[in-house]
Amino acid sequence: MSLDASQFEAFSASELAFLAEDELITILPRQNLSRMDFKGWVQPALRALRRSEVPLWLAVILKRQDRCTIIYPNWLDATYLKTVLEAEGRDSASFAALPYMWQELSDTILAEAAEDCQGSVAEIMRTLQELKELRLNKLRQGVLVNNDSHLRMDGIGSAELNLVKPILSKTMRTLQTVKDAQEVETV
Amino acid sequence: MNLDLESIINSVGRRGTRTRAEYTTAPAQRLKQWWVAERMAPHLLEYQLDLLNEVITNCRSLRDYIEETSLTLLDEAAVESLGEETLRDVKIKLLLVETELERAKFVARAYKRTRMAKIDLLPYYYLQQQESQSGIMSKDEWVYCHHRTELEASSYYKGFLNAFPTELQGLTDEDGHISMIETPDMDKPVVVRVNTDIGTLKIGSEEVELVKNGVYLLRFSAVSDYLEFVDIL
Repeated sequence: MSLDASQFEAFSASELAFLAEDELITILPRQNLSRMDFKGWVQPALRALRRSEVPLWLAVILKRQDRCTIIYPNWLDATYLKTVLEAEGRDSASFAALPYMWQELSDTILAEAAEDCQGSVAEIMRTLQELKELRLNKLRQGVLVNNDSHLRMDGIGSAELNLVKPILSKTMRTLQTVKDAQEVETV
Repeated sequence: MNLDLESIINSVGRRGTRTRAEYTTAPAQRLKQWWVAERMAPHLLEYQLDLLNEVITNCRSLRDYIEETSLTLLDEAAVESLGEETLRDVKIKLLLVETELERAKFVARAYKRTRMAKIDLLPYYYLQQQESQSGIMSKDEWVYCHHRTELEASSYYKGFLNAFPTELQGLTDEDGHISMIETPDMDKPVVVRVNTDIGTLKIGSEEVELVKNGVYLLRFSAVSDYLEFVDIL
């Protein structure tokens, strides 16, 4: 019924996958589908061979029914990812720009629509894996909570963030307590 | 070639941005943001009664659509009059609506469950807050919280409190220096993405400039007055 304590610290991988399914993605419909009223929002009519933007979950259903082709986002491309990988290697202090949910998005897109890929799926996967490891290493070594007031972490991905959030949060909280105690002592 | 050009124009045109704006501001999507924030924030956030009602009303309409459509699909004569292509469209729309309904229901349930779990953690505190600051809990949440504390108190009383002197039986005493009511840790660090330039805030002993699109780990109390300008991650 209730939630356990760890759920107030971070989101689980399946919850993140759920959140990522709301990201919008471009598809190339194979057949027409008239306008749909989902009550809270409206999906405009899909026309065959005209690009449309739809939520990822909707794209996946259409894809499974063979009713659309998924257009890969610009960043999900081996050449682009390699330049990111290079930039990532050069700069040890920050994260190169990728969408916040890059891991969840690429997992779903590659699993559901490998055949729609313009380049080599294996190459993209390999580069993604290298990126993932490099960034994780960076997180393990580089992120130092040496400050009780704030830590800036631009460019971090959701999977990475939720992995380190519990420990970072706890560390910063401890530092705050120590700092408060010091201040009391000096007064 | 022609088709391609047309699709490129369409993809950058108004059509795309309209979907984006409409989908991301749909009630279920907004409630989802509140669910995420509620999970990470140390104390109960303002109850989103109107938003939740909107989501529930939408869910009912979707459910009605599903019932109607399913009935039509059971009617052989009606199915035959539809034609094969329309039938396929009807079926896939049914599938899409069912999925949207389940997603919205999940968000609504997750939101309510998160709040209940938070009430479970600090029930006496929220009861006390409700008196001074009505609106922090919904009516049903208040009833739940109230019953919960009563049950707990009577169970403790029967179990062991009745053996104590009367002046030591209270569960919410505030005499002396230390209150018995546990309070949330407002300094719990949270991660936020800033969506508007906020400017410089004094956090602890330091001054921190919060820049648009910046992602920061900082104590909740520092941004609790700026919740509309940040997205809790």
